[in-house]
Amino acid sequence: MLKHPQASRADFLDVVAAKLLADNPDDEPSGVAARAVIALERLAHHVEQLVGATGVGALLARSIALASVTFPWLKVTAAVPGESPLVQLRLAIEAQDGSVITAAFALLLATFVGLLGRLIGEGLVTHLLHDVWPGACSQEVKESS
Amino acid sequence: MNERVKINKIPSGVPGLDEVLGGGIPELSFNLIAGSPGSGKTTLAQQIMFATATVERPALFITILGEPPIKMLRYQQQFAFFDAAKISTAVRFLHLGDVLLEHGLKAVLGKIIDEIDRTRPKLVFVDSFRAVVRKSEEHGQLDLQSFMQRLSLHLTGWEATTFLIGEYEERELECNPLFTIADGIVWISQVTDRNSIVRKVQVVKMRGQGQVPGLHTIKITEAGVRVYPRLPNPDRPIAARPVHQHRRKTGAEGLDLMLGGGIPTGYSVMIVGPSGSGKTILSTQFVREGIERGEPGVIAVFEKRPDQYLSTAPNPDELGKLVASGMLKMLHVRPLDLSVDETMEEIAAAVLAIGAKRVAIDSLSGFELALAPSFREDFRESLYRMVGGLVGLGVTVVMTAELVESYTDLRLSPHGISFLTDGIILQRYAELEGALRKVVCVVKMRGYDHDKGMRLYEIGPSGIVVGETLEDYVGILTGTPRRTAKHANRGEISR
Repeated sequence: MLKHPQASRADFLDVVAAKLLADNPDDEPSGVAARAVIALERLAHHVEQLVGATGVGALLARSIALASVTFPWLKVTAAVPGESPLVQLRLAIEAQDGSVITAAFALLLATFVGLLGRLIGEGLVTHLLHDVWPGACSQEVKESS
Repeated sequence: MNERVKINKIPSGVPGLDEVLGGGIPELSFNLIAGSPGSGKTTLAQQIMFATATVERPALFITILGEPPIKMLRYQQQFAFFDAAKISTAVRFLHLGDVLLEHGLKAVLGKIIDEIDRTRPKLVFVDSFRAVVRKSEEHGQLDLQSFMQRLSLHLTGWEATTFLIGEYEERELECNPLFTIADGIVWISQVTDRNSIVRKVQVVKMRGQGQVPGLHTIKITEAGVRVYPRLPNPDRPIAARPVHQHRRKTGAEGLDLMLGGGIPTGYSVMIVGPSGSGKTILSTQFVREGIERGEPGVIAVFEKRPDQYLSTAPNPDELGKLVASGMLKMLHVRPLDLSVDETMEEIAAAVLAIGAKRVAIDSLSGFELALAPSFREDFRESLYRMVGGLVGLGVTVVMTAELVESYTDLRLSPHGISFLTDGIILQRYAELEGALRKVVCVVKMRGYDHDKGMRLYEIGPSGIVVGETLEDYVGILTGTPRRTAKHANRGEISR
């Protein structure tokens, strides 16, 4: 069985973020932004199966609100009611530098996953992440073993 | 050649439920789990799902409005049956509440069909189906009958066993098409009586199976749902009543003589008497005597805690050692919202665990107090079911019952329950020669002759010691016996 000790979860998500966004370091910000949004969409799609689109929307909005304390430019993305925060998020992060995008993405991911874990439990989230990014999870297992 | 189709039964994973269902969940059946809010429908459904789903028999749990799925997942995983390791391998969740709200029933049906075609689940749960029923009542929506028919056909085509979970009222049983189409209906209800709540389950129908009729108590604990089948279960083979030639000695020699050799095996006997007359002592003595003869015993204590009980019983150290040796099991049954079925299950489990031959229930007054008010109201029925269930296990049962001493009428038991037992041993106080003495008599021992006399007894360090018959006296039951004229001058009775 996979193990995701709480302490290593943040490191793991950093690894996932870096891996997902660092395919091409010379990318334009729009390319990094697109990959970040695709990664979040992928995660959101899986979580949606469990908690529904409304549930995902609420969790994303809350994650963005929390992450915007560190990255205030994220705030604008939660402004359009009835629309997935991911639509606005893409526009907002496209305007940032690649390194900022990676840091913001890692924080957003960690916040979203942390929130989800507190609500539905770490065990369930572990299995979910394994389904979403099997490769990244394998890396985590390797690193934590 | 027998060419009839064989209906496989899937073990539900809910203790007691298979027995009530008539053997398990019929494979490919289309079932309803219905009941009032908070009655435990979702918990029951998820317990069944986690117990039955495997990689080869995957389950799909569809949520449609009702309890938000994020909360459902949060709370359901508090139960021991929730197995996160099965999620996405054997169990999949799909939330369609948004689809229902935005696109209506037709879209929900389409999504369910797509998902079934894609993932081919063998077990499908829809929670809450009530949302579908409500939506179907809106103008322009697919009507319920069409929805049900298409869903049922598709699920049957994919060989899925289905459970629709929803809140319904009993009056809907007669008019809702859902109940006609369903192969099985499991109905959960909550009965509130004064301060206690009792949950019950009823298998209203289960096509092709002989379900056990009636209302069965259910309990929800951290382990999940547990069903206590109503007793006696008409379909459960009853253990042949033991041959009564064999007697179980009580440990009180004089009493065994009065009984004609002891209590017949498989008999239920009530020891009735006023406070302090030694009912507990005699019942303990009976169990201890059995253990000395190699027959393990169970003592179910309803009033005292086992440690209190052990400290007041004769030779408490010895009893403690018997508990440690595994020959004696002490049960402490105290909560105030017990059902008779739960009590019965607990005692039966203890009997089976140590292979007990003797059971003492101390006391019936305490047992009555421990029951939820709704069971207390029908205490006689409760007791009848419990005695029947225990005797059905082949054990010999003694029960104590306190009786307020009355010297103007001869009452043999509280609540008029004396007819429920095979035998009655009555203890009384009587004033003899200026002293309060204890007297015992065997009132009945069904089917057997017994001593009709009344004997003095004392309580000694090792229990009850029965003495001589009070042949010289009349009016003992009045509490103030008189010597018969012919023996008036014989002198004092020996003490």
